[in-house]
This record gives sequence, C-alpha cells and structure tokens, in this order.
Amino acid sequence: MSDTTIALLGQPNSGKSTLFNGLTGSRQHVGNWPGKTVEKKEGAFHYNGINYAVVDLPGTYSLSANSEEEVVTRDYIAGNKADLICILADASQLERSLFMLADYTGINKPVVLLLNMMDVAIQQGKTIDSQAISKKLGIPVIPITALNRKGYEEFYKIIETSQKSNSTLKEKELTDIFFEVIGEPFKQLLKLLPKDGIGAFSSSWLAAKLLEQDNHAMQLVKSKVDVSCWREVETVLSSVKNGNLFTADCKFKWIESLLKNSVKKAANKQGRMNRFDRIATSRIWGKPLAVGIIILGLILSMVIAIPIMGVFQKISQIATVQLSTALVAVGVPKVVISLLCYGILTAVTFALMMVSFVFGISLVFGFIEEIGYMARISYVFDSTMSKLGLQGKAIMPFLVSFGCNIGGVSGSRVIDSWGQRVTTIALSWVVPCAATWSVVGLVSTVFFGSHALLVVLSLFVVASLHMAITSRLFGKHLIKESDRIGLIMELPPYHKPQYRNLFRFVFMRMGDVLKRALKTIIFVAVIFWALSYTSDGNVANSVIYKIGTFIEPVTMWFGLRWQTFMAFLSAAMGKEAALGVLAALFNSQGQAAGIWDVISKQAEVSTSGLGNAMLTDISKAEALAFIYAFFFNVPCLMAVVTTLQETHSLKWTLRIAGYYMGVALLMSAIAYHVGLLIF
Amino acid sequence: MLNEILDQFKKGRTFSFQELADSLNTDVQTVKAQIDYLERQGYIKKVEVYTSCAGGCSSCAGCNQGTQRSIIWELSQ
Repeated sequence: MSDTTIALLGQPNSGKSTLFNGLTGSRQHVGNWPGKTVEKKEGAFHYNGINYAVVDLPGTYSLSANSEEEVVTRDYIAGNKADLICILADASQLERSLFMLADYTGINKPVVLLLNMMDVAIQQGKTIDSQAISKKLGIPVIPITALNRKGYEEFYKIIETSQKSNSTLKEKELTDIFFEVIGEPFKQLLKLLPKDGIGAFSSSWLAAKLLEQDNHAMQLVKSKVDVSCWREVETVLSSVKNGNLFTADCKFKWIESLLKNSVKKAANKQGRMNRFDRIATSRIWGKPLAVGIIILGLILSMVIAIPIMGVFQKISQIATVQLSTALVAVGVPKVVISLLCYGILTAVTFALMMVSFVFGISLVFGFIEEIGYMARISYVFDSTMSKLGLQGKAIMPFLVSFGCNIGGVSGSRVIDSWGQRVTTIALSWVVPCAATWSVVGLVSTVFFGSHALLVVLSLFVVASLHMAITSRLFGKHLIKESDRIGLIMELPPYHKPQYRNLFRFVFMRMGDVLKRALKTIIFVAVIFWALSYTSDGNVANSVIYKIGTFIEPVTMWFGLRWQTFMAFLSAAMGKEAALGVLAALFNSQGQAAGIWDVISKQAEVSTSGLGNAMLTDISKAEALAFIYAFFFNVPCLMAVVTTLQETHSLKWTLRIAGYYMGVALLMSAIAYHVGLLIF
Repeated sequence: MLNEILDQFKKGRTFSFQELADSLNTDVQTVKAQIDYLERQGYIKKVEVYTSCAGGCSSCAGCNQGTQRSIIWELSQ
C-alpha cells in the first residue's frame, strides 16, 4: 500500500516519461484509463521509509478539454486522487513549456515545479534562478535533469516536505492580468461565479475556461449555479469572440513577467553571427548581400570547375588520338572508329566536363545551404516576389529549380491558388537548373575563356527582365490582387557545415548528372553521328547536312547555324541532349586537323578535340546566340509533362511552352546582333 | 499579443521570428511559443517545404538536393 501518490504533469517532450522511468525503474505497469483509449502508466518507488505511487499523466499542452488526453488529465487532478502534482517544464524553452503551469494556476492542489533539462539550459548559456521563481509562485521549484538519476536527491527531499506543507500556486498575479487585459467580461463572470470557485477550481480559473468556451467547465458551472445566473453567464460569453486568444495572451504575459528577472541569458556567443544576420535579413541590405553572395558563388564555382574541365579535355584529346591510332593499327573498320571516336568518346568527354561544372556549383551552393544561409535568400526576396505579383512561398519552387526545374514545378504545389501556381510555374522555367548551368558554363568557357563570366552575368540580368515581363504577361490573366497572403518563416540558425553531408550531396548529384548525361548524350550523339556519317568522310553528302543547310537560311535569322539550331531543338527534350548534338555535328568528318586525319592519313595530329572543332566553325556572335537560345529554352520534356500534371491545363502548358520557345529564339536573334556589334 | 501576431499575417508579406519579436517588443522564444499556441488552436497552419521534388527523381538530373526544408506558417482558411 502506498503512503503518498504523486502525479507527473507536463507537455509532450518535457521529459515526463524519462523521469517516470528514472523514478520507478521496473516497478511500473501500463494499462488504460477507465473507459478511455488513453494509456495509463503507473509505478512505485520507495524513499526514506515511505512508499510513493507515481502516475504518469498523458502528455498534453494545456488543461483545456479539447482532447481525450486533456479530459483524463483534468478529471484526474480534480478527482483528489493525487497528494502532489509535479509539473515538468523544459528549462531550455520555458516560454513555451510553462504554459501548462499557467493553465494550472487557479487549481488548488499541492504542486511543485520541476525544471527539467537543466543541462541543456546551461549549455545555452542560461542562468535560471529557481529560488526567485519559487518565491513568485509560492511553490517549490526544483532544477533537475531527468536523465541523471543521481541528481534526484533534491527532488526526493522536496516531495517529502512539500506534500506536508500543502503548497499551492499563487494566482493573484495572473488574475490581475486577466482584469487588465480582458476587463469587463472577466469581472462580470467573476461576480456570477461562486466566490470560492467550484471544487479545486478557483473562480478566476473557471472564468478563464468559460471564456475559452471549454465544454467541461461550462457543464460544471451550469450544474452549480441557478438558471438565471447561467443565462447571464451565456450573455457575457456571447459578447466575447475568440476568448481563448485573450486568456492565452494573459498566460503568456504572466510567463514573461515570471521569467523577466529570474532567467538570464549569457551574452550570445554568436554575437558576430547575429550582427551578420541583422544585415543578412535587413530590408535594405539583405537583397544586395544575397545577390552579391550568389554572384560570388557563381564565380567561385566556375573557378573550381574550369581547371577540372581542362583536365578532362586534355585527357580526352590524348585518349582520342591514342585510341584511333591504335584502332587503325589493328585494322578496325573505319565506320567503327568513327563511331567510337566521334560519337561516343566525344560524348563521354562532354558528360565529364558537364559534371565538372556540377561539382563546382553543387559544392559552392551546397555549402551556402549547409551553413543555413539559403533560407535567408528566400526571406529577403519576399518583396521581389510581391513585385512579381506572387506569394512569398513562390521563392521556394524557384530555389528548387536551381537544382532541377521538374522539382521546381512540382514544388509549386505549396501554392494554394491555381492562378498563382501557374504563374509561379511559368516563371520557374527561367531558373537555370544544374544541367543548364553546366552546358552554359561549358560552352561559354570554350568560346569566351575568362570572359565567360560576363556572359553568365548578362544571362542573369536578362533572366531577371524575362521574369519581370513574363509575370506581367501571365499574371494579368491569372493573378487576383487578393491572392497575396502573409507568412511567418523560420530561419534556421547558422551552423558549421557538415562536410561529410556536403560532399555526399555533391557526389550524389554528380553521379546522377553523369549517369543521365552519359545516357542522353551518347544516345543523341550516336543518332546524329549516324545521320551525318558518310563512307567517303565528306559530311556534305550526309542526310542531316542536306536538311541542315536547307533550313539554315531561316535559322540564321536567329543567329543559329543549322547545327546549333538542332542542338537548340533537342535541348527542349533535355538540356544534355544539346551536347550530344554538338558532339556529333561539330566533330564531323571533313574537318581540317580532325581525328579523321588520324584515320585517313594514319598520322598523329595534336589539334583534335571538341572545343577546337567548334571554335573553327562558329563565330563568337553565333555562340552567344546559341547560349541565349539554349538558356531561355523550355527546360526539358519532363518539366513540360510535370507542368501539365500540376496545372491540369493543356492550354496553359502549351502556352507557356510556346512562349518560351518563341522568346528563346527572339533572345537568340537579339544576342546575335548585339554580338556582331561587340566582336 | 496573439491578436497582433494574427494581424501581421494580414499584411501579406513574409515575417521572420526576429522581425515579429522586434515589432512586438519581445524576444524570439516568446514569439515561437505563441506561434506554437496559435498552430495548436488551429488559427494558423504549418507548411513544410522540402527543397527536393516529390517522386519522379529517377528521370531527373539535378533533383538530388539533400534534405533541407523550409518551415513556414500561414493562416488557416
């Protein structure tokens, strides 16, 4: 038989179960609360010659009667079954976890407050003056770390004494706040209720619960007061809307004043980081800083990628010559050598070069994400989204699109309004994905060397304009003014990057891109190689050359050679495909100093390789035109299909796709003519 | 203060905890506790946005985006 029963009360994750297990060890059994599906845990322990029974009440956030757990908890407390209630609060987040204590205030039952997870609070640099809190509350307050059973001594001592001293929580301060904040309705209710409350509940507690429209409290009061009084109560209640917001407000105020002088936070160790964050999230400096960091990130990723790309190019040049010489020597048929060297080997090299760019970009932007800055970018661009007529949430699909447009399109699902969603999707197509990036980086580096960066920056400026115009064009039909909604966003704290995670992410991304690039590029390269292969080595006799030169007068309007035009078209299927086309068409037979010479003349040449082959054929203006056409093209076939799935509108999907193709060609034409002026 | 927080949502822009705390003259922890309360009471809802796409990744080049997520709250309808 137990001498004393104590009950543990607290919010979920306050460490109640840890303490329960710590106290009772194996002496516990689990059942159900009578007539409920809620689990009931009971146990026992022995201290100083006294037997204690422990009841672990269900973890709830408050004592309202909203859920079965809360009803069980309240009935248990009101039912006089426990000699002492122990309320647990997470010391590392008292602002939140003391809400249960605030909700308990006004219940006249002996209670002690346990401040659990003191170790975490100390780590956070908090000093908690439990004596001061205890004085204000009028009940014992015990700091504890539930995980550490050796530290239970103080707890044992206090439950031994406090259960005798019958300590109840002071409620005056909270009642004063009720008067101040809620005023008249609260006063009236207090007058109507029995002065000493009902049972264990004080009149002030009941008045608050009535204002919260708490069903159980209403039933209780109704049964204890006469009919006319109850009518008056109902009249008062009908005048208050969202009463729970007012009472909760009072409780939070009470917690704030309780903690005001009793909790001290050490001067933040991350002071420098905080100052940086003030700038990073400031309305004025946040955006320029973000743009600066993005541009710096791009420069850095190119600086990382270009040398690696160069190595692959060099290896490929040597390998191609070696391979073709070797193959010729053992008498492999010309057609096979041509396929291997022109089609496949070039495609593999392109894929590897592309992956170099993916490495640079993933590393730099993965790092920015790892340290927690990415969320700030979405936060500071909120006002920009607003200017585009979009919801704040739209920035997230855009950020996803930097990795992959398909992800961006399906990510737009977070936007509830259909019109907003379609506009967001239409705009997200502009965002260059990892594959777009690597092709643009590769082609512009080949043609413009260190000036490639200027090309890339110009693309960004034009892309911003594109977004501004596109949002007007599409938003006009799709967005209503009232669609804009407010948000609160959690910005994660900055932290040291986890390099293991970062590199795992980078290499996984590289692996994925490489796999897909190899498949697509080789497939496309082989097809175009086949179309351009002739037995005599003269490309002018091939099918594709005939079609190509036939359409070239038209494509040259846009500054696109027939080869680059075909690359442009196939890029609408998948960005990598463009490289396959280029690989096949620009390494074709008949070029001076190509690999073909190695085969036909059986002589070693030094100037093979794709970059050179392309350079000799295309002017800089044409290259610029291609880069623009490519950049602003439809992301890929999958993105189009996903857009159809997400918008459920063939009409709008086709409109967006058509618009992008048209704009890409227009951009290409402009870039070509500007290019002619510059170069 | 809870009503003031709800009012901020009607302004149609994005707030951070810090910004809310500044404008309401309190600290971030208190704002977080109140946001939690409003969410529990069903006034606002939490939306988690994962920066990776839901499925279809086998056919997608760049989708392998780590598991970073953004957490936002908006008014419940």
